[in-house]
Amino acid sequence: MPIDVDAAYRRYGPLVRRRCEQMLRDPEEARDAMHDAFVRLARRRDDYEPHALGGLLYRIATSVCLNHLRTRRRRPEDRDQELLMQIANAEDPAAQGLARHWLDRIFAKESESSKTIAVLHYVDGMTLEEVAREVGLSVSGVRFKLRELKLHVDADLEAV
Amino acid sequence: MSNRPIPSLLVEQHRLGELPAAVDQDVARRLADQPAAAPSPSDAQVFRDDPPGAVLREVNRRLAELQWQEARARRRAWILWGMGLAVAAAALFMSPTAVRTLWDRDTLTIKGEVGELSVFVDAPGGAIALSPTGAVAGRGDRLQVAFEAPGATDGVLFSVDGRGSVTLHDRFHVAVPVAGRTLLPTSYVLDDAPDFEAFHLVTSARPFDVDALLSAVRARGARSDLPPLPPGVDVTTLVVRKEP
Repeated sequence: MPIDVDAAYRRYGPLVRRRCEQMLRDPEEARDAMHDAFVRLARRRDDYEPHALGGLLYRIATSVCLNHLRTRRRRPEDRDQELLMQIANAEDPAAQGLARHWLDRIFAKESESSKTIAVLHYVDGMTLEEVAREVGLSVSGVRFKLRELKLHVDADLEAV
Repeated sequence: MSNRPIPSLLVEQHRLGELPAAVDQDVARRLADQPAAAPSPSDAQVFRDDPPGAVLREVNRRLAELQWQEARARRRAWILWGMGLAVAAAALFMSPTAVRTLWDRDTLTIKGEVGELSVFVDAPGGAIALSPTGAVAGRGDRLQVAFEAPGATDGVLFSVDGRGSVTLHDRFHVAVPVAGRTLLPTSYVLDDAPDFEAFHLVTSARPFDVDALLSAVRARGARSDLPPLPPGVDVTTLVVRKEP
């Protein structure tokens, strides 16, 4: 049965909006991102099971916000740079140019699920077990994806 | 006992009752030790800022916009493919009119006094032909329709076919006029009704009796024009002529 987007918003809208505000730190941009998250849900309304959508919408919102952060360039100290530094475990947060380079490379090369997993683990502080349960992977699968992402970032760092 | 912060997703899922029982109990224990702050913004605040009906409308608008862009991209890709084919055909001395026919398949936009109506065929290779004053299409052609109604708080978009059947495509009443183009969330397949399909966008900056208008239109039968409208109510009409 396709997901009823209106009913989904009535139940999960606040969750999505809070997640967007948490990541974007800008209420207006968060509202915009919240709408985008429900557009993504609507586009694939036939593909999802219409129950217990909290985790799914949280991950969709995370992915949408990562895209917002990527295109946000008006502030020198963007949240995306903080995210990137935490994901990459870098030691030099002042290297903003480098951060932008990494960010672009990560966004270009990594899958949506890998990026979201990285944020859930490194930024949200979820354990590997919690992430694994949420995304439907084994713990070793999550660990593998995070290791891959770290390797890519390290390789890019060395190249720079 | 863990002192690490409770991830916000777990807190939200706990509130929603969507965690497996064992995890839920663990989260409840941790929340008892380190209570979570009140959700911010609150549920009530979120729904005050963005009421469900308005969100659904905006989501449908964005979805239709995406579909519009994707359909256009597909169509342009097909046109480029067709151009390549036409160039190849020209090399084999085919008539260059093939090229012109391909380019003629574009979005048709009709501007009224206030509103604006656009239509394009939503299928690669569709037979619709567009001109500055109208469009010609046939049974089975899939049309995508969009409209713009700056300053309008009330409006209705419907079509009348050559059998006099009236199809309601959209109807709105909003507190604040919607800026920009609104695309219908679904495309429209022309049936075998003869002669024409006339799309009418009727808008106003104040409420008007849409039901009375639709009743009057139905009573007139197969006509592509509309009965007289009340003062302050504007109409934009786009007529698609049907091929036999």
